[in-house]
Amino acid sequence: MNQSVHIFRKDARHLWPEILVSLALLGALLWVTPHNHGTPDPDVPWLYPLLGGFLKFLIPVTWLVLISRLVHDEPLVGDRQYWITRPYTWYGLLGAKLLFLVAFVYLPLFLVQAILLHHAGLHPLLAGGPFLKNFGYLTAIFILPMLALAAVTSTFIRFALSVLAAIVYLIAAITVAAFVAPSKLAVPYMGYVEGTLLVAVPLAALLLQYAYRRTALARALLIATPAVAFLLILATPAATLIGHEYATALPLHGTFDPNPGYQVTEPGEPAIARGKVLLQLPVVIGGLPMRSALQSQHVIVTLDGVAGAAGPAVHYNSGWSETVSSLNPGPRPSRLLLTLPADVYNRVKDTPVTLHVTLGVEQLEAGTPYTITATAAPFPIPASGACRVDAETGSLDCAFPFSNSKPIGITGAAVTGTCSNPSPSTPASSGLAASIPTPEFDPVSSQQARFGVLTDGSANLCPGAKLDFAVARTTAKGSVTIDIPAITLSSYAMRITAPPRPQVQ
Amino acid sequence: MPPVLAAIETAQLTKSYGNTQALQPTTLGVPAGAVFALVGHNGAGKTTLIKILMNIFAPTAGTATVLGQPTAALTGAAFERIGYVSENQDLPLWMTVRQFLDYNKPFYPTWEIGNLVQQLELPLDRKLKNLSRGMLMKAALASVLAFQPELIVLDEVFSGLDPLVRDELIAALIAQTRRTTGTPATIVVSSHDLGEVESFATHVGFLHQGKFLFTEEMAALTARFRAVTVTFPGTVMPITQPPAETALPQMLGPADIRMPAAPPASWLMLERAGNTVHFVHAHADTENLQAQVAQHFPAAAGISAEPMTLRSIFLALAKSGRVPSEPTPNGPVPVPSPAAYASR
Repeated sequence: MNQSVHIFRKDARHLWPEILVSLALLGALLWVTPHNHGTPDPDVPWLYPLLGGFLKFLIPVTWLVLISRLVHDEPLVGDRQYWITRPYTWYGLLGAKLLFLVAFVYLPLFLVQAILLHHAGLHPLLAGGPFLKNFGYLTAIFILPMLALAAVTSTFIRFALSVLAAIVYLIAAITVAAFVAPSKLAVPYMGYVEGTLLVAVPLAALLLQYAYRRTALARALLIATPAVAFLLILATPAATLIGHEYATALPLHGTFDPNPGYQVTEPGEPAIARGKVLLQLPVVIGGLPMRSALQSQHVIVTLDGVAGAAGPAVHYNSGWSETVSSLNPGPRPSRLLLTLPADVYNRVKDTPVTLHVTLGVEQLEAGTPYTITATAAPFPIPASGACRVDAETGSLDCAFPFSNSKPIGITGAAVTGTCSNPSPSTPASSGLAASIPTPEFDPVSSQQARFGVLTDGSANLCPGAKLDFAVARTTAKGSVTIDIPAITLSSYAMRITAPPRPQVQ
Repeated sequence: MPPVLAAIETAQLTKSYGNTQALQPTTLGVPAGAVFALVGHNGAGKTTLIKILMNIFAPTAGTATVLGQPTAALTGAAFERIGYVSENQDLPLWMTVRQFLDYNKPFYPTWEIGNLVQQLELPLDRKLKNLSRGMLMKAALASVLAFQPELIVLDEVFSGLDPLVRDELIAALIAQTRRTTGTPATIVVSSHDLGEVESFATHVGFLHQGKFLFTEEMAALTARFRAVTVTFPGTVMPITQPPAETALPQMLGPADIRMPAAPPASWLMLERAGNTVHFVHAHADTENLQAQVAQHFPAAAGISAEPMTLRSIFLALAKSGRVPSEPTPNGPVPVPSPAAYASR
């Protein structure tokens, strides 16, 4: 530890200009970011977003320079460094570098983000988990790979070229992966496996370099990682894993609602994206308790069309494919989104076909509701968030530290008029969707909740309204099947010229 | 740490880069307390050997121990006992001399800078990047001498230095071998200039194309080799006899000189120049020169046997063809002495 502190002090003394620039940019971020949380400046609405974007580019670049200069102060590549024949311990040296990053990257960023959270009405101390998660992402995606690259290069120029080469290499690998495996699926646990690989290998390369200075091996590890990840994607039995994930048949029954009111009757060509036609089918999920919902990410569509005047018989099975559908309880149908290859669609679009749909779903249930009085000033809500009522727009503006980790259902009383001239209150509902956490400089994740009433209209929320916030939790995972004996697909294909939306939830 | 008899030992130590063998199998022992001069031309393999000894390079084959520790284990605290300075070492040039010395101090429990700064006349407040090469070497050496290492390894640090600076460095080094506190240092100093290490080395090893031509104690080496001039009637020798390879005795008249068909194996570079005969004797300390000359040159009028410089000895060996130019079969091991070559 003493050696780490000693080397750290030397690095801090040597790299003070780089440290100063990095801290100044973080200070600028602290000044600019709050301007982007509220309403843009009417005179120069472009200024702060532009500055914010510029800083989000400049700060990582500064950190790249800082990491390179830091590691290259005791370069690990080469045979002329004076320090390698001095009593340095590898862990003392690595510890010094990590101490430096904590002191001049993590800590200043933490302070800036804590102040920004406080400014947005969020309590920084309640955001320990999101902070750790954000720093974890920052480390895994940026700091660790950059440290590893700096450890296998000897100068900043070589490091910068390696970073560029790595970016080109990654883009090429992703492009090839998308080309070779276009129907890429979100395979359960695959994210953890790939994430572990992408963290473990740079970490191993870094430790290998500091402990043994095995540059060739460390470089080989770094070069092999994206290739191994790519091969892993190709070799993964995605369909088997997804099928295993949804092996349990849930005690729910889905039925197709043939009500013509939900059909698309307007003329026009169907919208085709990436060779597929998007269908939206009205379905009702029986047996789903109130205050519950189904989220579907995967689906198998089996289509059978009999031979006739339109052509020969058609059989199509999609295998597990992706969908994003949210299905609600109650008698009103929900929209189930499916895709079909355009050539299959065109062969059967005007003749009745049989559809068998297997949905892989996650069943969510609203937890204990918390009743909170909505105010124009920020007030805390579950999941470490904070909201405020915007009386002008009648919406609920909410903020979360970094991201909203759980979906939240909101019910309460709203008015159909304005807050200054309100109509009688009516039950209304809204929700805050969960978002995927990504590494962010701006720790405030904003969401706006607009309220709707059951009579198919929007409503305005006014200060003083009592709202119930319920955080949703997953209660089950499994499959639900829907059999549709006869359906004419052209009546449910989304059009290029958007028709009036069917009246579904 | 128990005292180590041999500061450095290697066995069959080899280093290859692809198909190029930079260091042929080498067995070497440097006794503790010695000043070992590792000499050889540029590219002979001196730096490769030193970098293996310092665990900067891994050997391709063979083993080496330094101060009793395998070289592969030389990390961290092991370098509290070893000081290494190289002519092309990357030093933290942004530091001043004072910062450099202060920065190194906490790494060494035995750090005692004493009057080294004054002795080497180091400008403490000047940045390393602004120092001349000689001054930079002095600063690097000061950072090594200050912790009184048991082993000091210097790779070509004297190259290109002016004589004054070189003498200062050598004086500082010699002081380390005579220090009264702690163990006297063992010094390994590499150079491509035989003359610059001759004055203070106690042992010498000559590396040529990755192979030791000889390693020997300096005193034994210089005692054994003599530049011999045999004079015959009618020859006047110069007042001062120059080294054998440059001597051209004046010839004042003919003489009946018969060159021996089978001279002793210890006679190298036997040649006649007018009325004199010159050769290098490789065993002048053990063989009876007078008797040998009398036997092979009965007409000899006088014999002169002069000590030789290290450079002269090596040139004599090289010119006499006793220096092997091909690798020794089956690797080779004991480092051959000049005597071994002389007796082939």
